[in-house]
This record gives sequence, structure tokens and C-alpha cells, in this order.
Amino acid sequence: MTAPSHDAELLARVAKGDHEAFTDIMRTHENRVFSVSLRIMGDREKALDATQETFLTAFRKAHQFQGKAAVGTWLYRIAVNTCYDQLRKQKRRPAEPLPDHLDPADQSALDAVEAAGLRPGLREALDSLPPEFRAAVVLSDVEGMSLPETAEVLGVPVGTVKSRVFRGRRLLAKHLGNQTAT
Amino acid sequence: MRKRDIELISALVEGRLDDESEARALVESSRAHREEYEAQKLAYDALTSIPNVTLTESEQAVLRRDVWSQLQSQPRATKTKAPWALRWSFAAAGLFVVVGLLLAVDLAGGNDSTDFVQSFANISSSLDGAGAGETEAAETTAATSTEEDLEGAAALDMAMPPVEVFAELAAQARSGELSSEQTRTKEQKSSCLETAGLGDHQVIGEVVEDELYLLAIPDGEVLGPDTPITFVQADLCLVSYIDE
Repeated sequence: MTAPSHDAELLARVAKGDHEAFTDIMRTHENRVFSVSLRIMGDREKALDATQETFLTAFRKAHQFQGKAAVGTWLYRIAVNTCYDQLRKQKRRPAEPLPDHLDPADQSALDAVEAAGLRPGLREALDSLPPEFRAAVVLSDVEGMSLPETAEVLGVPVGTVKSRVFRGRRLLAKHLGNQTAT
Repeated sequence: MRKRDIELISALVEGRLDDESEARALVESSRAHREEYEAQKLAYDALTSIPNVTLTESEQAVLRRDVWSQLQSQPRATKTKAPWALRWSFAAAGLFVVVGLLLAVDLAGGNDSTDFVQSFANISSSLDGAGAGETEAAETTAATSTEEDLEGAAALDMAMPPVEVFAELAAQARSGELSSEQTRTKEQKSSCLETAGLGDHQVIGEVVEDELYLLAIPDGEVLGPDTPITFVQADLCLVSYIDE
């Protein structure tokens, strides 16, 4: 992880069209942006799309970055908003088939690898949460962000984050409890 | 349950307390408190057990390739192109001049009409070649503009750069002087922007300058002095000019 000031310096160069600086930013943050996107979207392919969209938006809006937050926080905020947008679009249209370039065998292998790391039913339980609650528990409990940092990423007050985390956990526990009971 | 109770239980679940005695006593104080603790603990343990995920090497390669190819295809302000109609009007004007000259030479020199027809055919075919290039350029979006078609248009661009016209229109748009008349539907405009490689833009107005142009700015932005305005030729859905 690079120092925040170095990131800000890189982003200032990106705003002037420096592609090398943008590559550095991507290298530093792509895994975490992908991780946040994956936990919110619940699907690797969609998370990859969201990650791509996040970096494209970041490149276009680099000149708007004012340095009030860390570059990472700014990027995760873009990522979360991108995921919200995609989830909304997803809701409006029927499920799409896998894209041609993706081998379904590879996809299922990746899903299996990922699922192996999760306790039974956790992925379904996470997917069952409303997106706002899901984002709050993902950032706070999965990614380990502090409440103020989570609040900054989500663009809401700390109190709202606390409430979303508590309620998100409660819903998650209920879902996990039901799964155990059945 | 009080807000403070929930926060104390949460701090206990997350292991943030130096002294847990008060929180533990609270949990044991009622069934509701115990259930709250158990629910929070179950969810928290499950969430914190989720392993880190990273991109695989192939995903990383695809991501970087796709991001870069998208960035390369963004229209750039430095690569301004003359509007399609303007370039054609230059071509037509050139054709008239050449034909006029040939006619004058033909009348003065007394060449027979077959030579003139042959000369005209040669000129027409060379201009048709240029026209074909234009059509090809028109069929590609701004996102796929090649250096070749830019060079092809360069000779015409040099004759009368249209930059001033668009710059003036952009200035009028910024000062709110342009008419707010809209002739295209929202769907038509969105579809045209998509074709022009500007899916992340919104149309803020229309202007007629020989042809109809859509004025687009990035989504979520409000038109201000620093907002780039992209002019998109509405019939061909081609980016014609970006005012930055």
C-alpha cells in the first residue's frame, strides 16, 4: 500500500493525462476495489465489470479530486456507487447469459474456489441483504474499515453507518440462523 | 433496547473493549440483550472469516487491457475533426472549381468532348475515393478514429478550420444563449451518444449549424466554465468537436 500523499500526487499527474501514474494507481488499488465490488455484487464477472467502470470513472474524474479524503477512500466510494448503479440496472432487466469471452468452466471453477473460503450459506445471506446494508457490513466487517472511513466511502454520517452495520448484521444472522435451522 | 446498549454490545463483539465486564453484565441482563449479542457475534464472526480475494493473473490482464482500450477510445480534444457536412461542402466546392477550370480550358483550347469527359471521370473517381474514405470514417465512431482518416481530413480541415464556429457555439451554450428547442427524443439522443462512444454523457442541448449537433457533457456534471462540451453530429452520431 502506498502512502496517501504519494497516491494524491499520482492522481494529480493522472488529471494531467499521465498514463503511467494511472497504471500505478490501478496496481495499488485494483485488488481491494475488486474485493469490495465482489462482496457487494456477489459475482466475479460483475465485480470485474464494476472494477473496470470504477477505474474509468476515476480516470475521467481525476481532476475533480480535491484531496479531502485518501485516494483509496475516493476510489472505494466510486466503486460502491458503481455497484449500486449496476445492481439497480440488474434489477430492471432479466438475468443475462454469460458473456462469450468467459468460459463457463472457468467461471464455475472460480466460484468454487471463492465459495470454499466462505462458510456455508454466507454468500446467499450476504446477497439477501439490501445493497446499502451489504455495503456497510462489507466495508466495515469484511474490509476492516473504521466507522469514519466507512462513512466517508458511503457518503453518510457515522451514525447512519453504525445503524446500517447493526441492522445488516442482524438480518445476516437471521438468514444464517434460518439456514442452520432448515 | 437503548442505542448505547447496542453500541456496547457491538464493541464487545468486535473486541474493542479493554474492560468487558460492563458489556458482559449487560448481555446477561435480559434475554433480548443476549439475543442481540448472539446475532451480532454470529454475523460478525461470519463476515470476518471471509478470506481476502484478489484478481487472478488473467483477470488482472483483462481488466488492464479493457480499461486501457476504453481510455484510448475516449475522444480527445486535440483530435478535432471537421464536421462531416463541412468536409463534404469543401469537396463539392473543389469539384466545381476543377470542373470550371477544365471547362474553360476546353472551350479555349478546343479539345474534343471525349477528352473532357475522360478528365471529368478521372477527377470524379479520385473524389469518390476521398468520399469513400469519408463514408468509412462516418461509419466508425469517434472511439475508433484512426490516424489515417484524421490525415485524410487534414487537407480539408486546413482550408477553413471549423474550430471557431464550434468554440463560439460552446461559449453561447455556457452563457445560456442557445435555444432550448429539442427536436430529438430522449431515446434517440441516448442512442446517438452510445454510438458516438459517449455512453457516460448527457445531452444538454441541440444546435443547427448546417447540420444538427447534440451538445453533450459528462453524466452527473452541471455545465460550468470548465465542463467539456462535446458536439455530436446528430445524424451520423459522430463526435465533431470537443470544447474544453
